[in-house]
Amino acid sequence: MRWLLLVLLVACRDEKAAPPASAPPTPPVVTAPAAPPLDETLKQHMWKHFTAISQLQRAIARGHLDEAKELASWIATHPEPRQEGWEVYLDQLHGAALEVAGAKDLPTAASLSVHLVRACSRCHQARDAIVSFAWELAPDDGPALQVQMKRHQWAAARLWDGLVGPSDELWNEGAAVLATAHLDTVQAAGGTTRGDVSALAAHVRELAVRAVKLEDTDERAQLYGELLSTCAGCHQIVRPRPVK
Amino acid sequence: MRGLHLLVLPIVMLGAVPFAWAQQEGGGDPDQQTLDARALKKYFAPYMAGVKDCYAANSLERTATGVLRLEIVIHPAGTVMKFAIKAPGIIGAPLRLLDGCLRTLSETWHFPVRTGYTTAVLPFQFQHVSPAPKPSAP
Repeated sequence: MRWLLLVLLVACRDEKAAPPASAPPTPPVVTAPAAPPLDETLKQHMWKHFTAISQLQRAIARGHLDEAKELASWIATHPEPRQEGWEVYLDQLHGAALEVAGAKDLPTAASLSVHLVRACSRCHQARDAIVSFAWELAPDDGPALQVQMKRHQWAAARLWDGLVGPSDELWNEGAAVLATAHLDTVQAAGGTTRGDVSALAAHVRELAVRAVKLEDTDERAQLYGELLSTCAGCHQIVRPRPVK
Repeated sequence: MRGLHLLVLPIVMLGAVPFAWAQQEGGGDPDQQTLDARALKKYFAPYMAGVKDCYAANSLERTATGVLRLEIVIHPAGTVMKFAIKAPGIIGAPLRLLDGCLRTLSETWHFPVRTGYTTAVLPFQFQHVSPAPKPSAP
């Protein structure tokens, strides 16, 4: 006869309280000690983290290496509320931020920046965090470059959210849209045909096709770094001066 | 597995550490535009028993890890408009049944109205345990 018992853990604990399913059976019903939910201060703090890291990767994509390094320095040095069990992830976050702050160029910053987001997602996974994001419908495709870029940005944002969550659905959603997103490279290059721009646009599509097939979060992060670097490279060509 | 001499002890780790953010650069109140983790935890609470029942009924193989992740998109009106699950160790027909069971439930879930869409990752952990031994008769 099977029967079910439900223990609701309503609170934060150091690490996963439950032993793995393969562990020797334990006596049923071990009620987890209640702990207070994440307070508003900490919530706002986490929001600042997310905002800073998101801004950092956008700065890289737009070609603002200095801004990215400045944000990385802030992440590396600002005081953190020390929560028990968070230390290892905060150390990873700060270590990655220091690396980005010392990056010599945009491609290096792009590849290093994904270590930041992995620190976040590892913490979320280890602590079984509920993670939520704002979401929006994918913009329609169209012939105008601005419309096409919005669709690229939307896809990149879903990939990013998919890494932070981590979330397979968001990652796959972003990858699928990016793999089919059009980009008028002639329009992007100011009305001229440029081989380097075409090659970078093709590389973005190739990365997106690869992204669809990836399941491992570390591999996804590595690919995202390459994607970010490719975006930045293309933007540097077509917009020699970084876009605000 | 029918002969498994284990009981199922679902340990729901929903919201061990709630995080929530809004994506808009430069601010905005995530609690107003989207549902944050605290709200998700609060408004999902009535639906957890159903999730537990679905998982317990479709995780009888030894390979089931006890991990379940729901990934949903919530329409501004509060209904679930996209739904996916990840249940490591559950494959084939049991996975399809689990997906169908939860998907049907998700059509009945309702969350507060917001101005924007919310996407959420809701993690659960379940554990198989042995029954407590019955006290021997005096």
